[in-house]
Amino acid sequence: MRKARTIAWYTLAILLAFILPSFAPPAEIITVKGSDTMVILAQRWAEVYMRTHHDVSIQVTGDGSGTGIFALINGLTDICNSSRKMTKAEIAMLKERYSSLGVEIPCARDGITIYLNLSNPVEELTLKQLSDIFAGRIANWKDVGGNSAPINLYGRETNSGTYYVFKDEVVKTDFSRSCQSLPGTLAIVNAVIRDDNGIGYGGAAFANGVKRCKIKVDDNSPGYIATEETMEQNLYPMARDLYMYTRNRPTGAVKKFIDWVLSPEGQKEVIATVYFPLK
Amino acid sequence: MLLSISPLLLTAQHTNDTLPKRKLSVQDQLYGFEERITEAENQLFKLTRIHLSGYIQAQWQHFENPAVYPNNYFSIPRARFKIKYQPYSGVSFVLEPDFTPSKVSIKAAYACLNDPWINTFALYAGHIKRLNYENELSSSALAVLTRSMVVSALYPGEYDIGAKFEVNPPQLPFHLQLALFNGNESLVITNAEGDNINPANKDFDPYKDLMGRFVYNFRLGNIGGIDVGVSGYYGWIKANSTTLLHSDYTFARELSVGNSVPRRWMGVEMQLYLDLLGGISVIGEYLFGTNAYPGYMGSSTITAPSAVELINDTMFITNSVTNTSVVTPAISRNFMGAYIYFIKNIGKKNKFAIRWEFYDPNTALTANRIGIASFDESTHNTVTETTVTGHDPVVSESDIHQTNDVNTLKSGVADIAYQNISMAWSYYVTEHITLQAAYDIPLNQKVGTNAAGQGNVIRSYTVNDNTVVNDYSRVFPQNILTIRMQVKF
Repeated sequence: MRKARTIAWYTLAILLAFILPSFAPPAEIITVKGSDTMVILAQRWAEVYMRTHHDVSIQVTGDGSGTGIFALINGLTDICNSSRKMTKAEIAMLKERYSSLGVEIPCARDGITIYLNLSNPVEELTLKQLSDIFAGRIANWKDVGGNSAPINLYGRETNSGTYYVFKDEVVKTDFSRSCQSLPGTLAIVNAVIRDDNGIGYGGAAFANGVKRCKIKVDDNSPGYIATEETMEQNLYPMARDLYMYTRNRPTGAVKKFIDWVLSPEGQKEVIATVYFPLK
Repeated sequence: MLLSISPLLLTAQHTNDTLPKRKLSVQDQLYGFEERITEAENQLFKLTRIHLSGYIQAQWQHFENPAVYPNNYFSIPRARFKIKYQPYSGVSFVLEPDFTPSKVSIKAAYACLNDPWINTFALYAGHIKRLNYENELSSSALAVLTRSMVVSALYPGEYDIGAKFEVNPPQLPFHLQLALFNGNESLVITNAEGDNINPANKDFDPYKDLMGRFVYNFRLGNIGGIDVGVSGYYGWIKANSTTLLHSDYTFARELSVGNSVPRRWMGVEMQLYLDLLGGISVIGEYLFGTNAYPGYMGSSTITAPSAVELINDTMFITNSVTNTSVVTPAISRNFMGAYIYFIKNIGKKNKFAIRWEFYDPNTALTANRIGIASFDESTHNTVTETTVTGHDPVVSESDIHQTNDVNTLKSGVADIAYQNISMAWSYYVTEHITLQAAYDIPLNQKVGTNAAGQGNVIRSYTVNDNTVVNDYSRVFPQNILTIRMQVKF
C-alpha cells in the first residue's frame, strides 16, 4: 500500500514537470489556419490589424478548410477560417476533445465563381449544366454552346471547403474522375489561364486573368456573376458565407482581433480584397 | 515537369533540325508526359480513396488487490490499425484489426452506404459498434481510460455483428440509429465444464436483438449545448437450461433448452457542454432493465459394484449406476447502472476528468441476501432395478439405476453492486501523442456475514502458495493506478 502511494507521488511529480510549463503566460501570437479561399482576405486582415496593434503577431496559413478544422480540433490553431460550415462529425470531435461545440463567426461572404479561359465563347451556364459538366455527363463544350472541344476540369482537393460546398450544392454527385485536383484556388486559376478548354471553380477574389462565367438557376432565369450588387440582393446562385471558428468564446487578443474583423474597418478590407461584406 | 522539358529544348536548339520538326518532336514528348501524368494520376486517385489511421496504447498498471498477481505490469491494451476505403462517394469499407501481443482480433469490419442525395441516411452492415454513447466513443478518446462497468457488462467487446440504419440530417439537430444484431457477441456463455460455448463470428441462438438510440442536440445560446437521448435494447438469449429463475432466485417457470429468455433495457443519456473557463462537460447516463443468463445443463454417470454374492456357483454382481443431471438454471436479473463524468479542459494541452459510476447487476437482492438467496430443487431421486443375465455362465449381473437431478443456483459475486470513482489527467503532448495518468477506486457493496463472522460471499485465490481471501462483507482494496502513453496517427 505504502509502495503504491510512493509510486503514485513520483508519477504525479513527473506529470507536473511536464504539465506546469504549459501554464506559462501565452505570447500575443494569434494563429489563423484554414480556408485557401479566404487566405487573401485573412492575410489582408492580419497585415492591416498588425499595423495598428504592434503587440500582436498574426500568423496566417491556408491549406484548406478541412485542414484548418482539424487543426482547431487538435489545438494547433487559435482561429480556423472555413469556407464551409463545420459538420456534425467535426463538432462531435470538438466536444470529445475540448468539451466545446466551437464558436461559428460569419465574417464575410463569397460567391463561388466559375473560371473559364478568356478565349472560351461560353458566357453563361445553368446550375444543371455545371453539375453535368463536373460530373462528367457533359464532356464537350459544343453541348453548352461552345466550340467542339473537350472540357478539361480543374477542381480542389478534399480538404477544401469550396470542394464540399460546390459538390453538395451544385454537382450533387461524385466529381468526374477526369477532374484534376489542384492544391489551391490560385493553381486552378493558372490552369484555366493556360488551358483554352479548361473550367474551374473557386472564390471570386481569385478570378484574375480568367473569364467569370455567368450562372443561371435554370434555362429561363437570367445569368449573374458575383458582384457586390448581386450578392447583396441574393441574386447570385452560388453565394455562401465565410466563417471564422474558435474552440471557445474568444477572449483576449483573439477576441479583439475578431471584433475588429467584424467592425466597419475590418469589413472595409473585405471589399478591398474583392470578397463581399456581411451586410 | 518544366525542369524535365528544358533539357529537351536545349537539345533542340543545338540540332540542325528544321523548326517544324523540332516543334513536332517536343510536342510528342509533351504528349508522352501527359499520358504518363494521366496514368500516374489515375493510380494516385485510387490511393487517395484509402484512409489509414490507428493508435497504440502502452501502459503500466499497479493493482492494490492482493489477489491480482503480478500486482504491477506493462501491457498493450490496444494497438489498432484502421483502413477505410471509399471507392465512391457515399460508399465505404472499414477494417480495423487490433494487434495485441496475445492475439489479433477484428474490431470494426463493415460496409457503409450513405445516401448521396441529402446525406442523411446511412446503412451499415458487418461488425459494428453497439448503440450507446460511451460504447460508441473511440477507445482512444475515453476521458478516464476505461468504459463504465454497466456499459462494459451490457456491451462486452463494444462490437456486435449485424446491420445498422442511421438518420443523421446534416442541418437538423438529431440523430437516430436502429440496429439489428446477433446480440451475443463477446458474451461468455459457459457449459458445465466452464468452457465458453459462445461461437465467434456466428450467433449462439436464432434470436436477433433490436437496438435503437435517438439523440437530440439543444443549443444553449452562446454558452454551450446539451444533447439528450434515449436508447433501448429489445432482445433474447437462448435458454441452455430447463429452469428459469426470477432475479431474486425464486422459481419463475420451466423451460426447454432453446426457449428464449428476454434481455431488455432502456437508457437515458445527457451530455452537457459548457463554454465556461475553457470548456467543461458533464456527461451522464442511466440504464436499467433485465439481463439474462442462459444457464447450463450437465450430466455424469458413475458405475460401481455395490454388492457381490456367490450362490450355487453363480456370482451375482450388483452395480450401482448413478446418473447425475446438473441443472444450473437460467436467470433474469434486474439491473441498473449509471455514470456521470465531469470533464474540465485546462489550456490547450491538458484535461482532467472524474467519473462516478454505479452498477447493480441484481437490484432484486439486498446486500444481506447476496450469498444467501439461492434456488435448490433437489426433488426427485428415482431408483430402478434391472437384472441382466447371460453375460457369463457363472456371472449374473443386476444394476441399480439411480438418477439424481441437482438443480441449483446460488447468488454470489455476479450479484454484487459496485461503485467506482475514476480520475484521470490527460496531457496532449502533440496531436499524436497523449500521456495519461488515471486512478480507479472501485468500492464493492458489502454483503452480510454468517454466524462465524465471515462474509456470505468470499473468494479465495492462491498467490505464490499463499491463500488470499477477498471477503465481500467489507470493502477490500482494489484500487488501480494506470500510466498510459497513446500514439495516434
